[in-house]
Amino acid sequence: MKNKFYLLIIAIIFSISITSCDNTTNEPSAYTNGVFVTNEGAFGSSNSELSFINSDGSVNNNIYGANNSSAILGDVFQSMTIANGNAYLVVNNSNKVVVVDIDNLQIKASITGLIQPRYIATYGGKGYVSEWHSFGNNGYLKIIDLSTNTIVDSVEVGKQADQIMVVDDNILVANSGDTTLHLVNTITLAKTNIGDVDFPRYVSKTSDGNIWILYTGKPSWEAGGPTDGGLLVLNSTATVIVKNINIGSTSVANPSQLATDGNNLYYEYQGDLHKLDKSATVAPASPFVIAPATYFYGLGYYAAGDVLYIGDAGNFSTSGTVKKLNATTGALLDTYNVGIAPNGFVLN
Amino acid sequence: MKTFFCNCVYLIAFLFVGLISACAQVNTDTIKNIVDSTQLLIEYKISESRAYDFTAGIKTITIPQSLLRNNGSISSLSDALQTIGGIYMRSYGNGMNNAITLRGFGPERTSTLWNGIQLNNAGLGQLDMNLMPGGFFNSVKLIQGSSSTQYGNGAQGGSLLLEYLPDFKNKFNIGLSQEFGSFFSCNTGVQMNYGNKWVQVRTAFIRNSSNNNYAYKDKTAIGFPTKETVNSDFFSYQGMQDLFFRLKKGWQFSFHGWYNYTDRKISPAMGAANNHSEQFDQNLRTMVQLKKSFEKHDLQLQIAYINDQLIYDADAFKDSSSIHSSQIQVQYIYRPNALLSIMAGGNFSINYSEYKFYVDAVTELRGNVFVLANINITNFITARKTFRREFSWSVKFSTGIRQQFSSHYISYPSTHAGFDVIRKIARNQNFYTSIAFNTAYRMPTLNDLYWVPGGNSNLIPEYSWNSELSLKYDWKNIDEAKTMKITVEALGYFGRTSNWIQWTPTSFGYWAPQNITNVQSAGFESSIGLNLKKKKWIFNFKTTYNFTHTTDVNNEFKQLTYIPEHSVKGSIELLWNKIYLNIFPSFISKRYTLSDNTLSIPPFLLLNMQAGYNLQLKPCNIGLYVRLNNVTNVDYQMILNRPMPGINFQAGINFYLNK
Repeated sequence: MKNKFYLLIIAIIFSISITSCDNTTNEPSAYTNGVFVTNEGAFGSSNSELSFINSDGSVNNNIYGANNSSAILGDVFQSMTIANGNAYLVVNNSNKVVVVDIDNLQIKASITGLIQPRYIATYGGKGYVSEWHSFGNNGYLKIIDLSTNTIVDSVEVGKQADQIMVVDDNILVANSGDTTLHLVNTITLAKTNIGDVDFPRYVSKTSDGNIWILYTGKPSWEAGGPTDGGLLVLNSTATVIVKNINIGSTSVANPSQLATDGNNLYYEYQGDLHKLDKSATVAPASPFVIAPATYFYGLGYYAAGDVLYIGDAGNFSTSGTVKKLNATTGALLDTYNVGIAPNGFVLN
Repeated sequence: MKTFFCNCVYLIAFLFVGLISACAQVNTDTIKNIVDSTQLLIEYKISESRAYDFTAGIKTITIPQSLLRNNGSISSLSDALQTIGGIYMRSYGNGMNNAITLRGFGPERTSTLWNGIQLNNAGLGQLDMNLMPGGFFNSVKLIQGSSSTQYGNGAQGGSLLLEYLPDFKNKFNIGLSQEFGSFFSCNTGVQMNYGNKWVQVRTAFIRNSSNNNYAYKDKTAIGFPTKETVNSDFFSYQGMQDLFFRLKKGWQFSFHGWYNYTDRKISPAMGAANNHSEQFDQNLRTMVQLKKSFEKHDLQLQIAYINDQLIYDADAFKDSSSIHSSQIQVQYIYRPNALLSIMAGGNFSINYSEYKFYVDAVTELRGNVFVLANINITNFITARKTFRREFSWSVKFSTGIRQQFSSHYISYPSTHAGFDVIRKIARNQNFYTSIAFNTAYRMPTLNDLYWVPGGNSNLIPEYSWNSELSLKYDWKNIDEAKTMKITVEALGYFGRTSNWIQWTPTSFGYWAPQNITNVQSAGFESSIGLNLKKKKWIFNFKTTYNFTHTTDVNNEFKQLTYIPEHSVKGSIELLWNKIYLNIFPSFISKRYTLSDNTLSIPPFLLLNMQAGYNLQLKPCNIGLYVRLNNVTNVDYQMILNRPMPGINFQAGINFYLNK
């Protein structure tokens, strides 16, 4: 009996020592005061996952599975949006949006019937999901009734509809497979093309209300490519083009990613991180941080601490890392091990 | 240990003396004295033709006919290979793409040859073993080790040799096979051989189909509910035609044709959307072969044309590729005496493809020339016979060099040097020692060079060196009432590959191949076999254990993905009169799915069984069988989130008519 008691004590001490030595755990916890990381996973492998970087620097990986009986999230976890006490997880190649409770990440519903969904925005009790649909054909903006989590309407937009933004009563849709930027009215569902730039993909808003769109330009393997990428700036109602800043292209590189601290824009070009003042009219000649990642795959800015998070996908067959940088100096502050191909960040 | 040391000493002595003796003419009397020992070598490595004779030191396996043709012409080659120790078949699901892995090298680093002509797809560098009908061949050999010197490009892991060898004594026989099984699978095969001592004709045809809608546990939903695979049915037919003409004065002419049409729907990974993918494989392979056998010379000329078409059709993506490959191969063998044989030759090929991802039409010229030599020395120290114990020696030494070149490159030459030493310890005991050292290469594929975007014309060929040592002991007890044979084998190998080509993402948003790393392969293979025969009972048992440590030198020696470190396979065969039972248990350890070895697929223990009854009603044979796969209904995966089927069965009948 005495021996068993000692064994129990040793087992408890051993368990405590293991958990205290490792700052990466799969234990469920309250996911507040930190940053969610969407890990896309490798295409066709269904190994995407959700991570959470706590403000104290600890990381919780595989938190979707940990809170849902080890269930797999799906294939190609593209993006996440928090609204109405829920998190909407857009799983691109599983053709679904998973609705989870933001407090415990437990699944509440699954929105199906989508085809290659990319991003979701919420407005007026409805969800708006951009869909790539199929290559070579137009994408769609699907309208979801968030009370029933069902598709209630659909609007055909441009090819490979990608990032979206709520602009007054409209949804701005960047169509990353052609030259169009659509503004879809949420009441009438009428659409207007407001742009003519090659492959617009990322959208962001600065403190003056202007809307910034990073267009990648055509890559070299597209007919007529490569063409230059750049930043198209619209006014706060997305009705007037304020300016167009050329970034450039080469036979192997086009710009990508976009984040803002309100006054500056951050983007990737040729593997480097670039920083641009919102009042600038030309792109910076030299990078802000040279090659901050092996494979620069995600970018986010957070005012708390004035930091940038960069997702490094490595070679896609290894766990990804997140680099935390000082947004003023560009200095590397920390590195976190997360899931495969971290492509985005959501502050909670 | 002492025995091993003695073997090494004798080995060196034999090498030295053997080289001298090979250079000299050997008198006829000596040759007559060594016939008995030569028989041992022939038993050890059944030498039928060509480069297979020049592989001394390398582990070679002849796939037993019982495995290869257990279900007549519809027998699956991948099923047969799966039972062989050291082979790991990477399958995307039942009936889906199935890739061979040998000693930690994947399908693009394993060379598959049909009658001596390489079949690996010029674009991908690999072959789908699910499209290889095992029942079409009566000779399948596996060179389980680096063998580029003998078999050319890409044989770093090994080579698979597929052949149909004619029997000029045959007059007429026909085999019909019909099989039904789980998931509405239906497999039909017909095979006919007819002719005389001058002409032989062989015609074979198979048709396979299955709904392939098997149950699996859906791990994307809480509680893992059982679901059924979708979009996974397949349909395939293949035909093979062989014509052999034995002409006067030692000439032989043959024609070989092989056509495959396979239509497979590609089931999505667990949790991924069904994008209704469908893949069509069409392969046309034709060959003419001319042989001339002289007293001391053999000459062989082969001309082959291969067309590989692959069409992929999915909701969001459609693709079609076609590669035409023409090959000409010349081989000349010179055997001045029983001790020495020399083989020289060359292979030249033109690969041509018009493919949208190559942008422009691509033509690539490839070629290689080689020289191989064998020295056989047997009963060299005849004085040993004066000792009380009866024993003798046989030594075979092989060496060779092959130089490959293409429109882009001249690779480093591949070389080989190896020994097989057989010591007959007693009338019923043999001890075998094999040592080999060789170098190998792999040229970049058409996709590596020309794919847009990413194709990299600056790639250089991979280059490997490999060494292996194996020891084998067999003992047999023969008396009229009972036969018993025990075989024990152990093998270790070590090697490295530099300039390993790997597709990696670039910072520009697409993937590109690079000579990015170096790979080290080290491993251990062992087996124990027992064969028993008593009256009407036959019992065969074999178990193998393989340790495969194939690691990325530039990545802290992490194990390569999807390579199990440990595998244990067993084969139990029990025959009584006309009834047989085969049991194939196998254990595969975890396989890493990420190159940093942080995630893996769990290990699994699989059990397959087959029982049958063979009825002989001369001149007919009728065989009935039932096969149970995954008897214990294990939930397992070969590729991450690609479920494999649970317990399933096939039942069939084979009918043979022999005249």
